[in-house]
Amino acid sequence: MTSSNDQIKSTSIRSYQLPLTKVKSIIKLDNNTRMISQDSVYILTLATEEFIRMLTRDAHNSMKQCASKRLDRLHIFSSINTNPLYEFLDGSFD
Amino acid sequence: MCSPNNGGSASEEDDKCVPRAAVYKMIKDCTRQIRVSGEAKEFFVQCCNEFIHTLALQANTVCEQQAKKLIHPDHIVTALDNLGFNSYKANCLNAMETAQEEMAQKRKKLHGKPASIYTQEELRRQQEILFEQAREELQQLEENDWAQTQELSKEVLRKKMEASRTDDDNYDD
Repeated sequence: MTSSNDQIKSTSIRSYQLPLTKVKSIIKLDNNTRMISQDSVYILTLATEEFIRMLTRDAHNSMKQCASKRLDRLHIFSSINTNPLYEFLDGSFD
Repeated sequence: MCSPNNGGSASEEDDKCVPRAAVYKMIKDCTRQIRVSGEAKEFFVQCCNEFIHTLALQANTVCEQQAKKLIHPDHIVTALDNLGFNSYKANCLNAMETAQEEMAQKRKKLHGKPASIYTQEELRRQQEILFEQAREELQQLEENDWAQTQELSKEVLRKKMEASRTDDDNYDD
C-alpha cells in the first residue's frame, strides 16, 4: 500500500518540467504585474504544462482528422479557432 | 519573436521564452510517435508565452481586486477559473499539495533537534553542578593568587630589613 502511494507521490513530484526562473522572468516582463510568491510561480508553471498537454491533444486530434502525418502549425490554428478556451491566443500571431 | 540565437545586442525581452526542448519533450510525452514540424514547435512555445502572460495578467487583476500586494496561489486558481481553465485546477492543486508536504518533511529533517537522553530537569541539574565546580575552582585560584602575593611582599620586606640591619652594624662600629 505504502509503495503505491509513494509511486503516486513521486510522479507528482517529478513535478514540473519548465524552469521556474524562466517562467518568473516571463511574468515579470509585464510592468504592471505586482510581486508574485514563489508558490504562485510554481502553480502557474504547472498550469502552463497542463495547457501544453491540452493544446497538444487538441492539435493531435485535428491532425488525425486531416489524416496528416505531421503536426503542423495549421493544426494548432484550427484548434485555436474551434475551442473557445483558446480565444486569448487568437490574433496574437499573424 | 523568440529567436533561438542571441548575439549580445539582441534585446533581453526577445529571449524570454520557455525552452523549446522542454516543450517538445512534453508534447512527446502526451502523444505516441508524433512528428512535429519545426514551425509548430516554435508556435507551441509562443502559445505558452501567451498563456503565461494572460494567466499572470488575470491573476494580477484578481490580486488587485482583493487589495493584496503579493500574488498568491489562490489568485492563480481564481484566474484559471475566470479564464475557463477550471479543469486544470485539480491537477495543479494536487501537485502543489504534495510538493508542500515534501518541503515540510525536508525542513523537519534539517532543523529537528537531536534526541537527548536526558530530560530538561536532568540537564539543568547537571548544568548547576558544573557552575558550582567552576565557582569553586575560581575561588581556589583567587586564594592561591592572594597567598602568592602575600609571600612576595613578605620576601621584599625581609630583604629590606636585612639590608638596613647591615648598615646599622657598620654604623655602630
